[in-house]
Formats: sequence, C-alpha cells, structure tokens
Amino acid sequence: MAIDPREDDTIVALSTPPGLGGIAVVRLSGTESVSITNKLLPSNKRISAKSHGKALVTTISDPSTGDTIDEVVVTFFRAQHSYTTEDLVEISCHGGEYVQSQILYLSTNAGARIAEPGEFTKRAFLGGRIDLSQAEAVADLISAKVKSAHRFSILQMQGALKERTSSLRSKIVELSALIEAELDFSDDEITPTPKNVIAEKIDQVLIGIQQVSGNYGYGKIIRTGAIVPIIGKPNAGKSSLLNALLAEERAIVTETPGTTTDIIECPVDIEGFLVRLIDTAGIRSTSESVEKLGVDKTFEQIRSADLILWLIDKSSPIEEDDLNIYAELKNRNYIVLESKSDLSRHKSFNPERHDIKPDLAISSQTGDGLHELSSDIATKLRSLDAGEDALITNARQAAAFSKSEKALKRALSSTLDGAGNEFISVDIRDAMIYLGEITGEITTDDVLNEIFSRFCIGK
Amino acid sequence: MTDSYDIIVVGAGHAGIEAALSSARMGNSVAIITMDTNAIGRMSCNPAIGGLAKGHLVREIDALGGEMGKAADATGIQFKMLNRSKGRAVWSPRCQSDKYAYADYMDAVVNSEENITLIGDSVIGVSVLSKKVEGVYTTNRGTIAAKAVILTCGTFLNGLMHTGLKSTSGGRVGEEKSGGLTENLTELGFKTGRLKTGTPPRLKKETINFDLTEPQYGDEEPRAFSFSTKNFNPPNIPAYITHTNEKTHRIIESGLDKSPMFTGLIKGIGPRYCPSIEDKIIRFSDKPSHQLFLEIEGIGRGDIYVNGFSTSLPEDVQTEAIRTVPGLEEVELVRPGYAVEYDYFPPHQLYHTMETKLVKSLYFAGQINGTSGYEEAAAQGLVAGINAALKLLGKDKFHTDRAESYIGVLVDDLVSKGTQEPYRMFTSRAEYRILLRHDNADIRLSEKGYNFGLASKKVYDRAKYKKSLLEESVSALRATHLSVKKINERLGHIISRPADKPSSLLQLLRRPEVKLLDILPIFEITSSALAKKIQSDPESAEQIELEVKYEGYMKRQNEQVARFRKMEHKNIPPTFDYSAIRSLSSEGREKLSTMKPESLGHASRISGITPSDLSLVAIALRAYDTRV
Repeated sequence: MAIDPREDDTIVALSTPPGLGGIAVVRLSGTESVSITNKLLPSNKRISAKSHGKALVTTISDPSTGDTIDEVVVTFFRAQHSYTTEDLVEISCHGGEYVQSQILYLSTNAGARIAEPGEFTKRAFLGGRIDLSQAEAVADLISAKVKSAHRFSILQMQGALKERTSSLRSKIVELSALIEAELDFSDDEITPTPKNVIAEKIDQVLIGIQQVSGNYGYGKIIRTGAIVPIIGKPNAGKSSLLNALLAEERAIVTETPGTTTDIIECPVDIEGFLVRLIDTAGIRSTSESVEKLGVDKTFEQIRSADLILWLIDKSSPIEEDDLNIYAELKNRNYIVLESKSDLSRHKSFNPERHDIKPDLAISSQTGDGLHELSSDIATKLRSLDAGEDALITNARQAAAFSKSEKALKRALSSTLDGAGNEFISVDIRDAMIYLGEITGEITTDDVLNEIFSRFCIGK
Repeated sequence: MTDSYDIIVVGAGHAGIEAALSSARMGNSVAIITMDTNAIGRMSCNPAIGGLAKGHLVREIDALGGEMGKAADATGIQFKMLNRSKGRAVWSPRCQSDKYAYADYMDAVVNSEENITLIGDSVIGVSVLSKKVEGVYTTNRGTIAAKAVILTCGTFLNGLMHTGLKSTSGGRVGEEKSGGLTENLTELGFKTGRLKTGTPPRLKKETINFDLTEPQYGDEEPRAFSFSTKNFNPPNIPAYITHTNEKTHRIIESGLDKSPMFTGLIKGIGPRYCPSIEDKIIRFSDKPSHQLFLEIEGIGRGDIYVNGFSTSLPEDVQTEAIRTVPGLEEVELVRPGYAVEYDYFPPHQLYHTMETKLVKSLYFAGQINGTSGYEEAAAQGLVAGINAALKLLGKDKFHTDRAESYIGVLVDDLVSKGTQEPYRMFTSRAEYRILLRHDNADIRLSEKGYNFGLASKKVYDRAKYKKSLLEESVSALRATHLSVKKINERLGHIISRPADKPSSLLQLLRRPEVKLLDILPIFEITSSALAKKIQSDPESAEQIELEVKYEGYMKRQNEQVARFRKMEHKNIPPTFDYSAIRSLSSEGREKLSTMKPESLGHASRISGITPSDLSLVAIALRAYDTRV
C-alpha cells in the first residue's frame, strides 16, 4: 500500500537551496502552519493569523530545552493570498545548515510533515494558483526530483538504516500481532499475553528506536560535517588557531564569509571528518552593547556545536569572561586548549584553581601541539558515534523516528495504565506506520500473517 | 417471448437472499434462480451467526435494513457477547443457530416477498450486449432477460469435494455443482482463480456420551442482533467442549498419505484462520491437545457439528481419530468432513458497488468474490442488491467507506487489494475500530437504510434519539462543575485519591474507577430530565460512558478519519486516461489502468502505487476537471 500523501496536513520544507548560502527560507503551508510556527516562538513575539503579509523579527527556540536556535524574520500569508492558497508561513533564518535542519526538525516535532519533492508547487497548482499550461512542467519537475531523490534513497536504503528500521518494524509487527490476536480471536482460541510482557516488549522496541535516533547527531556529522566553533575571550588566539589549522590540515574551501554576522566558517578535512571550524573573530569593540552581542553569539555557537575548541590564553589571567564560558560548557563535548604555549605564563593564569583542566598546550606560532589537536578532534568526534551502524541522516527520517518513539511511549503508558488492547493498538499502529515511511513497508496484512504464524487459530 | 425481470439473482445463499430482498423491497421485480428452490439460506458449515468482527457485520446489515440479524434472532439457540472480558469497543455478538429453523425462516421471508419469483434452474451463462448485461442463459428455460444480474454462486462454480483421495463434483454435500458459468465469464474477459475450504464431520447425537464433555452456555442476559427485535427471550442450549489428545494426533498423522491436501491433490488455497485438524497438528506439533466444540445443529435434530475438526481425510481415518476423543468413543458419523475446491473471481474486477468493471449491470457477491463466511456474503449481497436497485432507479450509488462501517472495510479490501485466500473479516482490518462498534451500527447506518426504504422508521428514529441523547449528555456533563468539597463529599468513597481542584462531571467520569451510575445522582440535581432519560436507557448509558472514557482516542480517530475522507472524496472518473500522464511510473500506470480506482484514496491503497504516482494523478485530475 502506498503512503497516504495526506494532502490536508501542514508541510514544511526549505525553499532556498540547501547549504551555506546567505539567508535561508523555511516555508510551512497548511491549516496548522501558524500554530506550529508559534510553538517555536517566544510567547510575546508570535504571529497572528490576522497579520497577513507583515514581517515579524523574533527568535526560534527548541520548545523542549528552551535553547535559542536563531534570530529569524517570520512572515504570514493568509490562505487565498498565498502561493499555495493555504495558510503559509515563511521563516527567514541564517544560512547555516545546522540552523535550517533544526528549524525543519522542530517544525516536524510540532506537527508539520516534511514536504514531498515539488509538493508546494503541487498545492499551488491544485489551489488554482498556477496556470493550467504549467501542469505538465510541474509533473516533470516532480518526477525529476523524485528520480534523483530515489537514487539517493536507494543508496541509503541499501545501507544499515533500512535493515535496522525494518527489524525494528518487524518487532512492532510481532507486538501488534500479540495485541490484535486477542481482539481478533476469542478467549476460547487464544491465550492472552500478560500486560507486563507487552509492556516489556514495547520497552525493548523503544530502546532500539532511541539507539538509532540518538545517533542522529552523528549521522549528520557524517553527512554534512561537524560544527566546531573556536571560542575564547578576545585575543585568546582564535583566528591564529583557525589559520594554523587551515595550514596544517587540508582546507577544503577558502573562507566563506557569513552574511549577516561576522562568523567565519572554514571546512577542513581532519582524518576523514568534514570539520566546519567556526571563528567568531571580528567581534571586537569597546562599545558595551556590541561586546555583549559577541558573547551572545559565542554562546549560541556553543549550543549548536558538535565539538567546541575552547582557548584559554596562558599569557593573561583567568577572568570572569573565561568562567562564564566554562559554565556554559558543562555537559558538552569540548577540548580545553592552553594557547600561546610559546609565551610565558601570566602570574594570574591559574586554571587549576577554577577546576579547569587543559587537555593540550598549543602554539599557533610554532605549531606546537597542532598535530595532537587534530587527532584529539577526530577522537572526540568518533566518541559521538553511539556504535550504531544505522545512521539517520536527514530531518525526514529523524521526524519519522521521533514520531514513532512518541507513539510507543503513549502505548507504553496506556499499557501500564491497564488500557484495553484496542486502545494500545491505536498507538502501536501509528508507530508501525511511521517506521514504514522509512522502509516503504506499509500493510496491515503483515499483522494478520504474523498472527497466523504464531497462533493455532480456528477452534 | 422470454421471461423478463428487473433483476436476476443467481443463487439463494446468504448473499443471494440479501441481494434479492433488498432490491425487491426497493421496488424491483426480482427473480431468484437457484438449482434447488428448497435450499434457501442453508448454513453449509458451522451452525452459528456472528462472532468477532462478523457480529459487527450482522449489526450493520440490520441497520441498513437487511434480513440476517432478524433471522438470527428468531432462530438462535444460544447467544453470547464475545470479548466481554475486554473493552466494550471490541465486544461482538454471536449466536448458535438452529440451522434448519434458520433456513425455514429465510425460505418463508423470500417466498412471502411479492416482488420475488423463485425459479429452479441452472444458469450456464450471462447474456451480454455492448458490454452490458441483458439476462442469463439457463439449462431448462433458455434465456431469461433482466436489466441487472447479481451472481451469488457460492462454492458451486466447478465445485469439487474431497474426502480422502476420493473426489466428487458438487457445491455442497448432496448438491450438484454449476458448470459452464466460469467458462462463459472467462470468455467475457474475467480472470478466475481457485480456492479451497473445508468442513468437519457431522456426528450422530445419540452416539455421544455428553457426560465426558463440559457444557458451555450462552449469556444469561442475551442481546439481540437486530435493532428491531423486542421482547427477546431465546433458548440457551449449550455447546459441549472436549479435546483431542496424542492418540488422535498419531492416527491423523498416519492418514496423511491419503490426505488430498498433503498429497497435492487439492490445488486451491485454503483459509489460514480456519485450518483443518491435520494442518493444526502439523504446524503446531508441540500442542498436545486441541479444543473441540460439539454444537447442536437443530433442536430435536440428531446431527452434531464438531467445531475445530475440519478435515478432508478418508472417512475411516476420520472415524478412527475422532473415537479417541473423550465422549466420542462410540460415535458414528452422519457424514464425513470434506474439503471443497471452487472457482472464484478475484474481486479487484469490481467497483465498490460490486458491479463488474467489464460488464455493466452485472454484480458479484459472496464466495464468488473469494470471501468466506455467511456474514461476509450477506453484507456483499446487500451492497450489490441496493446498488443494482439504485442504478435502475437512476439514483446515486450506495457507498459506505472504511471509516463508516465494517461493510465498507470489507468491500474496499476486496476491490482494492483482492484476496489470495478465502477472505474473512477481522477487527484488525478496520483502522477506525474504536468508532465502528456494534452498539452504534444504527447511528452509523440506519439513516441510509431508511432512505433506501429498507430500515424501519422506528429503528431510524431510535438511532437519531440515541445520537442526540449522547451528544446532549456529553456536553451537559462537561458543563456541570463540582467544587473540591462537593467532589470529596459525594464521591469520596469511590475516587482513588481525593480531589484537589474543582472538576466537571466529565473529567470525573474519565477516571477509571468512576462509573456513570456513580455520578448520575449528582447529575440529576442540575439536569434532572436528562439524567432520567439516561437512567431508563441502559444501552445509551453504556455508550455515553464509553464515549467519555475514551474521548481522547475517539478524537484522534476522528481526526484520522477526516484526513482519510479528504482523499476519498477526490473522485477519479472511470474514463480517466492514465497513459496521458507522462511522468507516471510504468508500474503505477499499469496498476491504475487495470484497477480503475474510484478515488484518490482508493488509488493510495493499491499495492505498488507510490506517493509520487499519487501526486501526478492529483495534478492530472485537476487538469482534467478544468478541461471538462
């Protein structure tokens, strides 16, 4: 059975080319687009379904952690006046891949679905927005995109993710068979499975799903590179380190200037990892407000990083700025670098007193410690791999796993609450459908087949 | 001059009866042509109606104005609500029937229907002109003309019965097969397949020692199938439980070399949910014993049905094996069990109306479509009969979808997925199971039944009343608020933990330990009239409680239904040309062209159709609509 395109739900997609280009636009279309967007906005800066065509400057944050993702401009277009003829929201954000994929991911968590290739255009057409003569062109566009997506998906599906997802799904099918058999056959025919056994089995599948989805971050590192900001107070030697690393390692591209901020991002290849070094250099000012902006930016970098390189300047005292940064690093993946190892130690440079333990001493001038740093970076990134072969590499798969996980959690809690199988099965089915979206297996006959192979039916 | 009717129904089994009665009651002249006019409404296998999911079908047939529920109520000898140990949403009614009384009842109803003529003859072909049916060819009467023909031939098409290695042609024991019709339909372009089903031996009652078995009675408070049955007071005659043992199994194993199934003589595919005893022993060899139910076939009759012992082994092996079972040591067979192979027509060749895609005004219903079960057959017969009648009246077709009824699930599964084994209804086939309960079948369907002129005004009025009482009560319970003090005062002895904030009665009722009866006295203070209505109507009270307790799940299912319906309502015209869609995958194009889905939703359930195929069809449809 084919996947239902669910034409009336709210879809989300990046409408500008993916990658590092200046500003990116994420679009949502459908009846829920306003309410979904608002879930990601602060309560005092939300869009209203009345404010057609008005742009609002606000911030997107992760509702579960409260972490700020990006400063954005949100514009709402009312149905009938929008491109798709549905309620449409455009979120203009900064062009980094991390920010874009976070916004996509959070939108799907809030209820949107990643659009099929060409789906916005399709809705525009179905809504009568596009001229009839364009119909064939749209059809070709969809089919062309599907073909290239198909090639990509075949490559991916051949891999471990499909196998792993398939095996998780068949565990859910088994579970479903246990639950459904009791509903499809009477007590005369079937011995019921105790609720604690059901709960245990749900839990096992949940653990499997969490293992795979927990490795989403690593999958992204493999696919789009690791975000590695170099942080430290002004003059700690961030730019020098960046340049030294670029000289030491193979720079893939030269500096790619950001657009609205002064962030510099340089991709380098470190032991096979695409490492996107980020320097917040250029934020230098005596004006207090700009200084504060710099610190805010640094903190933002920390939150979205896969690995942080923190520089503490051996030739200057440990200051409050350093301690503020240190506080922010807690529970994150970072390397502490004692910079300027070629200079003499400042008398008030006393990291031990603050419980700060430098991992490595480096000097961008002499090249001291740089080789070790590269190998430390690779080791740290490798440690992010949860040992799971199956890698989720895009937001669509991540969304499917996350929805499946939520459904199983609901099923688990209703099982523990003693709910009837007919209710548990509503969520188990959902979990099965979501994983089926990744593997393409969707059929209710699976469950009956499983029942017939397990139970001696027919009194 | 040839005889002429509005509608001809071929066959008088469970599908044929509902098809004939519904179309006749909707004002058409109907001829039932059957080989034996004395064999109306026979139960050729187990003497029972209903069961899990099947009970739902019977309730729905009844709500639409069909006959099966009434017949079951009038002739049942034991009634039981199955799944009573589970949630109310999956309860399902079943009864043991006096199969002789059931057939007599149906015979009387059919014979007393003015618009029906009963003809004893054998149909050997359908007459077709310009892809439209014109009538049927019979052995004795030649051509009989009709504006529509409904085929309900059961297992009679090239029926072949097997007991051991001996096979006899025929549709049921003692009844001839019907030949020629399959070949005629194949010539017209229909695809055919072969299926198999089986039935257990019948035993002589007086040779059974019931003392060694355990009686199993029905419910003490039986519930009727029909929404119009009043003063229901049926008998409660037990079935008897006994068990097979290692000895039985060894004898059966020793006879496998003479089993038509295990020697490959039988080619048709049998139902996995209803395996023969030989199948059970081989596939579940670790089970030392299987349960058997001895069921009375008719009050005052001497034959006993052995539920759980379907077999096609040679008669001597059957006898030897069954005599190892406690209580059956001395038993004699009335007749042995047998397997029957028959032709069917894979049902993807039909529209949702049961009309064939190849020949206009020709309808198929029942086992001819690869289903098994009286209830499944009756449901299809009713859909075919109503649709044939509506078409002759020039009215819109009757369609009930997956979100409205089990009948809708049945029909949609058949026409969009086909079937490789005899198809039986299961509750797990219904995605919106929580909404499709047996208790609300009348609310779901009686309006349609009434508008067709089939369901009575009484049933329809009652359904309307139930629905409004339900809605009114839920909103009144939601609007009635209680203070913390009041809650603890009035319900302190019931609730598991004391209240710490004020709640509505609705919220209180949602607690697992609180029953509607507990809060009714409080409800009475503010909504006295409503509370009295609920008190005097246990059926509605159950529904209200169910609706409130599971509101969250119901709401989610309703949302799923809304999404589902949106796709269902995007109709695809039958003349739609898929070859004109350039970018469609070749598999998609081929499947869609053969299956001719009736809506975008229907297309999405055809195997092999991808989301991008669907998008392309949606776009082309839009273009089509604009051009037309």
